[in-house]
Amino acid sequence: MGKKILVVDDNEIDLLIIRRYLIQAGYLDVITAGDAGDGIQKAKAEQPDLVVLDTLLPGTSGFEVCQALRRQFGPQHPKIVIVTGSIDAVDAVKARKVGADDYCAKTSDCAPLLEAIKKLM
Amino acid sequence: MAKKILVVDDEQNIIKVLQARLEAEGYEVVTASDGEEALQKVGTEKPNLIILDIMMPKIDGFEVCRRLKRDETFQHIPVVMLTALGQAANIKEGMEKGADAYIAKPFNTVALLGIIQGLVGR
Amino acid sequence: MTQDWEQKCKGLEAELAQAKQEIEIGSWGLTKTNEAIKYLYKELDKKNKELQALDRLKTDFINTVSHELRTPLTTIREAIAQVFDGIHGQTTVAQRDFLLMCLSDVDRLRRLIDDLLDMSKLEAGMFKLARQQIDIVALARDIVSFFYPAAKATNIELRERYNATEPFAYVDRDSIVRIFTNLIGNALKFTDKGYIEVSVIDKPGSVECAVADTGRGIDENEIPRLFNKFEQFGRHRGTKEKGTGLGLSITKSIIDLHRGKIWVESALDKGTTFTFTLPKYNEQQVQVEHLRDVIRDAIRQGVPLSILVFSTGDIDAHRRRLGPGRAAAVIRELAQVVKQNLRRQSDGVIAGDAKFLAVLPGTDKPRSVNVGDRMTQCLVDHIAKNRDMAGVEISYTGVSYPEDGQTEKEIEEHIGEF
Repeated sequence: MGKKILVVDDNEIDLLIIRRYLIQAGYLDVITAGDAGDGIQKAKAEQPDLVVLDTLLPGTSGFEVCQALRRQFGPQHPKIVIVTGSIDAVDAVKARKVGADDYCAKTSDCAPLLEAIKKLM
Repeated sequence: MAKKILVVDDEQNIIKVLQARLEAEGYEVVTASDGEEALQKVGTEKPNLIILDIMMPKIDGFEVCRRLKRDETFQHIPVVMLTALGQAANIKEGMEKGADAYIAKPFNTVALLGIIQGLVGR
Repeated sequence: MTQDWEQKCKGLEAELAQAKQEIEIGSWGLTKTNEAIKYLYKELDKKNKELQALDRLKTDFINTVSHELRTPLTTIREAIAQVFDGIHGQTTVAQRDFLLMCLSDVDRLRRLIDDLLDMSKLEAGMFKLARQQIDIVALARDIVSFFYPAAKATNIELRERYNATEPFAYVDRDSIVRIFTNLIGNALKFTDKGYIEVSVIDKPGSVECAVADTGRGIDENEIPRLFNKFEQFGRHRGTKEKGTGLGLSITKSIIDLHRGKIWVESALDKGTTFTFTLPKYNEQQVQVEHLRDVIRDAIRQGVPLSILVFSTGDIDAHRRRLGPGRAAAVIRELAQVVKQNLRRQSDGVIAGDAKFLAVLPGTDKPRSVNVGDRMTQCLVDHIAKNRDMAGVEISYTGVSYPEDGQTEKEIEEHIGEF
């Protein structure tokens, strides 16, 4: 599909799982980062079409990274999806307010994430 | 006349040691390695007692026992079930299928001989 | 003036627009959360199924290992025994000596395998208890008599003290035989002189059993670890047979499964007393325990289970009208009506104080509704034929696994008191 996706998550196993499912779904160009700094750097360098952010990152949060990315790149592009292992309606609102395009649960088969990405790309 | 015992087990070694022990006690022994052969030999050899292992390929011991007990010609032959499982459920199932006695592996030879003696004499 | 108003209007309009947006965002947040929760439920379901499959693998594994280990042992033991017995020719004294050594170690291996398999079953939650009301005093007597020859041979006195007037407890017979055998066997092993006393005493709600000896005792530092696995305590002196190190651990697990307690009192060279309690259950408690077993099995096997809780309307009014004795009898009678009309052999009924239950293993929720309606009709018909049951109104609620609860606790809570 030619689209580039950046995934930022400090859990190595989760990164591997998401990466595998994305590639299986046809998104062959997947870049990963293990923390906020690395994530923002790679976003600038690689210019992905979509960024997946875990809510929990060392020293900061997916929401703050989202804010930083919006400040850097503007409100439309890249598309940003925030994922979490602990769903919370308050966090959902926060995600929208910091400019994320979607907010969904982390599951072992990545179904909600793939659904969200499909809608955005 | 010597009593005839049919020993059924898919393990050759078990057959060998059981045969040696029973023959030393004065019984005549015939053998079978699976359920089908067992049913055949019951017809041709007409044993006085059958020692039957439970876990066997094709037809298992429970099924052989069930069939024997339903057949008028053979239902009078006492069946001793031999098992490595020894769980209460298996014993119950064995008894429900009509087994006359039940002994767990590794068996106590004295106990097994005692059971056989009780069922058919020496 | 108009300018003021216009200002105000614009301000309010802005506030309204803001509020609308907040609501819209909040709404979006809730929708997202809902969607996510649905995915998480699916995830939970999937994980549950995986766990059940693993559980079944464990069962199969334990059974297979059991067979695979015991079969060669059988051959080995029997072959050695036959050579020892001279069936395959004469043997020398020295040869018999070594063969005996082999036999003794084969038996030790067999005991170890038995214990390991029991331990696996206990840990996998697969150790099934076949419980009934058993006379513990009679059981203890049988076991003690089995040990008389051994005790006589070592000059140890075997004492018995039974003062239980109601010695019945709801237990798995084989398990309790094993526990007594274990404890008395141990006592014999570690007592050089004196006596061993086996006692069974009545306590409120339980039967208290004890095995006391005047033996070598246990170091108080080792007592806390006594029921751990694979601990063999410093009593390695002596040539008597070595244990597997699992006996006490298995004993404790079995007592726990029976909801009893076990403890030890001992000091070096001052003897040892092991005491354990077994709960006494009246008939109704037995039924409740049985119900718990049924629920536990259904959840473990991942098979649906439905329980219909029937109520008779205003139970206090019935008690006032018929007297408490007759009211209880009515409930039992109605439970029987249901029992007679249930089709599956595995279906059962339990009569409680105020309600009665139909227990339907293998029946899912939709089907249980059919059964419930059918039973209600049977009950209504029965009540119509009995004048003293006039005023009894039948209604039921259904509690099913997995729809109404996924754990034993949840299901029991839904059933409530009866």
